[in-house]
Amino acid sequence: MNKLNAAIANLVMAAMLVASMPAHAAIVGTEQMVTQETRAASLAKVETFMASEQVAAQLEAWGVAPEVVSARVAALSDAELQQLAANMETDPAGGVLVLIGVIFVVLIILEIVGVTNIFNRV
Amino acid sequence: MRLQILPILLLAVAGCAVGPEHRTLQAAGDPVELVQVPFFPQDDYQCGPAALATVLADAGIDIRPAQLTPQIYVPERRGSLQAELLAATRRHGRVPYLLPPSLAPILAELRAGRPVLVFQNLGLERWPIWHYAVLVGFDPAQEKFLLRSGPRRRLVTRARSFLGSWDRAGRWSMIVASPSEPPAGADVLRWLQAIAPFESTGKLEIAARGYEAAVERWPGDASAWTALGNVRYREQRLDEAVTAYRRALELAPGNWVARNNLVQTLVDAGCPGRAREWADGAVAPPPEMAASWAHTLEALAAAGKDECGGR
Repeated sequence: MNKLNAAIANLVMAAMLVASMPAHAAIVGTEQMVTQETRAASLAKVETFMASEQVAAQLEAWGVAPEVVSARVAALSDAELQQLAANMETDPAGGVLVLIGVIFVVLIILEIVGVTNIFNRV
Repeated sequence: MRLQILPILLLAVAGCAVGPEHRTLQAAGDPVELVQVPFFPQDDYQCGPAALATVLADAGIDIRPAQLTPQIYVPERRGSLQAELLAATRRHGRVPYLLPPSLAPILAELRAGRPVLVFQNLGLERWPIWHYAVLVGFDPAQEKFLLRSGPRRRLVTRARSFLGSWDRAGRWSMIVASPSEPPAGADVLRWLQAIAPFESTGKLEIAARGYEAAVERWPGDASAWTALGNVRYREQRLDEAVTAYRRALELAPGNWVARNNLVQTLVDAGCPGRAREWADGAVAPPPEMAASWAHTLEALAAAGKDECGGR
């Protein structure tokens, strides 16, 4: 229920932002030009606003300290925010994970036959 | 102890994609090793901060991985997201330039003395093990790549296994550039894509340096001039914006972003008369520009009397 309320509040805020923007607010920005954005500028603005909220919430849920989240989100471009908001949960995070069970065995075999080389890291 | 048949089976499914890249390496001439590239051994899962600190430090920034951890590490993912590596590079005033998905430009950057941050999948597509490392050299005759990777200062890896891991991670690689110096092999669109986020996030001074460098390197490119116009507009340097947009339209009369933004800028500058000269007689814009163009025409229709005199 809280989530739903938050989502409604976001929508209302976004709608108010759009409504308060003068019709002649802006030029077409370079990011929009080079990422081949086909949507109307106002629509993209709503999505960027929503996307940054969503990305911030997910980073916090994943254990990023709240005091650094807003600076991290502010450094992301419009295209990056929208891409993360859409795919963040499945986007790869480079870090090298713990190897367990069957994966470990498969990797040893692959290492022996020379397809991968993870073990000569160590 | 090696199994005889398994390699053939596995190569049949895993080894084909990078054949052309392997031949690119074999034909790459003398070996290269960038021994001066610093090394930060990785702690825990923090290959993202370690690899990014390596390329930033090589680009002259005084940085340690621990300073990057709060900027790019995601504890519960035990790793770092690609987009946040790009964003953190920008936070340090440098341009994260993504190389095209082939080996030749990577080798060219290494030969030019620049280390390349690469994304790898050390596991399989089905069971990925994502990892960031920094390429610091290659040896065509030995068919090896040299990396700063995890705890290893100088990891020598077989060409085939490195190329496979890079291929399985989407062939993603980036270099760190200065805003006023596009890499020697850069192409204009990739450079503008790398600079544009500075404009969107309000780092206008850096965006301006990047676009100035773009029009210097690619003076015949209308998109570069349009981008320069955009940052001038945001800096409220409207006369310079007009000059840049007009240059873009001289080069490419069909550039609708330049035309739209020129008309808008002239309206903002109090020159609706001049704006009308660029708006009247324009044919219908392409669909993706229709909404912006309609807004611009509304602004033009609502404009007061012309106050720009001789401009």
